[in-house]
Amino acid sequence: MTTKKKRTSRRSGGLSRRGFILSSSAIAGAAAFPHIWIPGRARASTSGFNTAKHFLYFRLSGGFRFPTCFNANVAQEFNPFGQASSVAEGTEWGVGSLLADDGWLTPELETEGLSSVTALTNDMAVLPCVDHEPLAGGADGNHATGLERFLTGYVGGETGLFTMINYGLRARYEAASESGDVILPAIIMGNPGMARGVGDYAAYRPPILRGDDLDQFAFGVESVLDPWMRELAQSYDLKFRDSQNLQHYGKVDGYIQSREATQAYADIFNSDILKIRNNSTDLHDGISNRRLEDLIGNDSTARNIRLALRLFHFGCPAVYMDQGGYDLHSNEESALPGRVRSLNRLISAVHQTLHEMQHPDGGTYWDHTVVAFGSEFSRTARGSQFNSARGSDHGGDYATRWMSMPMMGGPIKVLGQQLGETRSSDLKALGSVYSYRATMKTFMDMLGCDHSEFFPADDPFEDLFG
Amino acid sequence: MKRSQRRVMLAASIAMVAWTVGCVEIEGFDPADPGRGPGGMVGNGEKLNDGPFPGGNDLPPAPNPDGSLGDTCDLGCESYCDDLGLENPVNRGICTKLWGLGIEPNPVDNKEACRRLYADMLGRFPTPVEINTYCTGTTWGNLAWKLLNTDEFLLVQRRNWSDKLLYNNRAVSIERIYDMDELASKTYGGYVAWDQFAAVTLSHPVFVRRRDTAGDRAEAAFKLFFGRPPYEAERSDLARLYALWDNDYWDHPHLGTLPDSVINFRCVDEDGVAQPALAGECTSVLWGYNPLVLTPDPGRLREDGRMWSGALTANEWQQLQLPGKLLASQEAFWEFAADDAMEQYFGYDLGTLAPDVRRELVKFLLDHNGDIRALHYAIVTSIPYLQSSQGGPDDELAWTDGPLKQAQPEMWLDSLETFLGDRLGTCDHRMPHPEDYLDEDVATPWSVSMVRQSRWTLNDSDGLVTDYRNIAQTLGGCPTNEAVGRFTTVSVLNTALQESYIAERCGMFDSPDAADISLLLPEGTSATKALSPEVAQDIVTKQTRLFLGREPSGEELSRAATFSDACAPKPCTAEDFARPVCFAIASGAEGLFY
Repeated sequence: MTTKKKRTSRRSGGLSRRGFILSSSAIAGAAAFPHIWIPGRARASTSGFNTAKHFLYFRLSGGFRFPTCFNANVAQEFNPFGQASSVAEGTEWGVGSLLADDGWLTPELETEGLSSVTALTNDMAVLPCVDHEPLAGGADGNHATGLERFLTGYVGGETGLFTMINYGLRARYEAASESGDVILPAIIMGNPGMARGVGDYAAYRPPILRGDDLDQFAFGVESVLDPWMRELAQSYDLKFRDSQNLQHYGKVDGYIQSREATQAYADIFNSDILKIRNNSTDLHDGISNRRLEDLIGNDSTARNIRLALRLFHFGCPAVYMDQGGYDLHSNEESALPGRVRSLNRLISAVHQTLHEMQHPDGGTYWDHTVVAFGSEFSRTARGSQFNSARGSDHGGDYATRWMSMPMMGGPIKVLGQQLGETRSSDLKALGSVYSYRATMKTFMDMLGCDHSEFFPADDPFEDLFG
Repeated sequence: MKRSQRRVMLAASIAMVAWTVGCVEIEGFDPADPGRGPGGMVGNGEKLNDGPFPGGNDLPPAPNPDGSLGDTCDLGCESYCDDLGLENPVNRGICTKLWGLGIEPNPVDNKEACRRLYADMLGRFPTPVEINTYCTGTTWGNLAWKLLNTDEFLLVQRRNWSDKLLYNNRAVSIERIYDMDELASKTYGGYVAWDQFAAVTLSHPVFVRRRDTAGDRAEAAFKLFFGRPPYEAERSDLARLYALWDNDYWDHPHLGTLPDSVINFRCVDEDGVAQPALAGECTSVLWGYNPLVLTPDPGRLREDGRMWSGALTANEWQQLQLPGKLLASQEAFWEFAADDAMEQYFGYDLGTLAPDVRRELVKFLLDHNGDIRALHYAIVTSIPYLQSSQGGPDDELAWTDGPLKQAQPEMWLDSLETFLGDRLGTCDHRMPHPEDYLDEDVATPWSVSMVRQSRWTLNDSDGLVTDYRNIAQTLGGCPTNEAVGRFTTVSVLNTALQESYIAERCGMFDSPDAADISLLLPEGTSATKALSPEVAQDIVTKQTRLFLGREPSGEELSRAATFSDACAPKPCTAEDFARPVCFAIASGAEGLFY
């Protein structure tokens, strides 16, 4: 039976799905997002408290062999690829030769302003020894539990780190709500474990976006509903809610409220700014969607990054995503360089884009954004450069233990430096060892979160702020 | 020479032999059924119970006229309950908090109960045909038994265990996952007793390989089958029985390097001989003296002196199942089995609120040879479960009205796919990362064939169809289980996605995925038929039955007539009204909660 033509002409004017969303309510107020928020200083804060507005957090998935790139001045058994021969002036951390791979850097991209990662290493800081459990006897080299620690701080942790961010910023959301503004919460584009949350924290679980195509969400469904249609839908909801026993009333009412709340976000999610694939040359924050694609690329990770940067425009404080696949138990020798090449492109593109984008609050996004890379653990070849399959594994040793986390962005005041040191021969820590929880708490601190309820034994540290 | 060095040398000397043995063991790889492991060694005989369980047809008794309506069941109340002759263990257990106290349960409409049974047992809402055919003119006992013996029931329970065990084909071997999944299927099919299921599960590579240390495994074992973390003494004691397990990898000839478990032969001397003096670190003493010591067979060792778990004999597997056997010897093990099943159906902890129910269910389970189906049958045929969630007393007693739960993402999606026509494909809980077998640089004919014969849908060029997964994962389903599993939540993004999906399927805008209008109209009604109040009422009747499994109320019919008048621009056709009605009903709270 083919009766769709007549039907669509009646209700949606023959619009396609994308069309009906684009035709929905205007995006007034989207270009600037005024809100006044006076942060209260949380206990045990640093001088970097509330100096960042955004946090872009990448997980290098599967366990990343950090010394091959970010703590590279160590023995060959830890970094069989060697160090970069030339790095940006002022770089004090060990740069791996893999980061010098600029096979991705076409003349066109160079013209766009991108450069080899080794040319911007002085805009990155590295913590060579970030450890899930500094007091433990060995590393946690298990994928499941290592990842749980990465996502929540603990094995079996019930609250994801991004849930903590949203909870820590609850005063900001409340203030915005009272003044009639809508700001986006922290958003997950990667492993949903970052969004864990029960009890008091459940309401602060960050939304999870799968893919960058926001057309999958019905923030414009109102545009195809005549008032009577919405009224009809509401009548079913209300009747069902009101018929329920008192014990169940709240569940159903929560859903009804959620339906109403989708409309509050409609203006944002229907915005042309977020249509990152629209090839538009219109400037938002000083950069067009077309140029974002030129700079960052068009694979799935690149599209997620482009969307994340646009979500920041609407007050989103943090976006988390997974990148790559580095669990290379075999063929790491041949496969890792290619995968790091993609990472290099990403780092360079994000660096350049943040410098180009103008922040609504003044300055560039670089001035207001922290970018960091982590993983569930690092990797080991147990005394050799590679295991018998020319790959690497993960166990309980130092090589597995230390996440050598790189980070960049204006709020960090020690760019180019490394905070800590490992002995070249055996990776024994010779300087500061940072707990992963303290590191994440420091990021929360920079965002202005009230983190006083989380990780009581781990304080944020001052070292990133000079 | 150190003991470990000597063992390595011993192993190296027979490495070729060992590898030959290993090669023989993997030649039977079947892409359609790649399961390999201890699950295949059990549950291959007769069912534990043949016919329906008793207790499925209790009639609601009258409340005790002398009941106090208070909290305490006195002697008269207990005597009243004893005399009722209730067969269902849940009914027996709850009597002292319900009828015995003079309280009446909240009666349920036949169709509401039918919808709940289908949703909980089959993971989808029933079709109108099923409601009229199977939920009418029969007893709940007969219906429950029928549903209990379907593949869909098994799938729901298999998926439930994939959530509990966090199946992830990057963290554990896909062969092991399939084996564990089949074990769950056999258990809920009535072939494996619950204590045996626990014993095999707690020594299964799917379980041990997900944890890093022996202590982690002990802790997870307690959480899985006791529903609580262990005390430190329990943790350290049980951990000694997990000391033999190491995490490692195994090179599959067709699927590449797979994460898997190996045995390290701790607690024997350098010659591989068990010695009482060395057995302590592999011995549990909390529940009696229980050593777990395996001796190495040089013919099966790897070069590093350890043994791939795939080379274990049936007898060795049995020995390794000691942790589960010890836990199953505890009363708390059976109590948690009852609590867990109740949580699944009631959505709240009835076992703690009404310990008599738990006690009766444990007895019922043991009386039926540990057949876990007995619990499920008893619960879904119990009167507390078969109550309405609507109306009822405004008290704080959870068991005086029926449960109301949010549909899991797959349930919600599968139901809509059933009502509006399949479009999306599906996902396979055994293989959350099918790409790992399809990507060009890793795919082999074997691996592609394995995915093709799984529940995933591939297109003509062996590309993965991900429509279903994309929606389900945003809503919390089809979990990848890397660190966390399934979740259900109500959030702005979820709601927006649900509305969008339903708007598309109902045809609120141009889409090739819009449902055929014939599905939304009463039989014999043309899409172009002029809309009248009567036609509107027929449409609402048709769709209320379709989506909600019930008849429309008088108020709803009256409203349909009113809204038909609001339809514009006039003249409206039946289709003009049917599609918005589809959106209104299918996107409503009643479609999400049951």
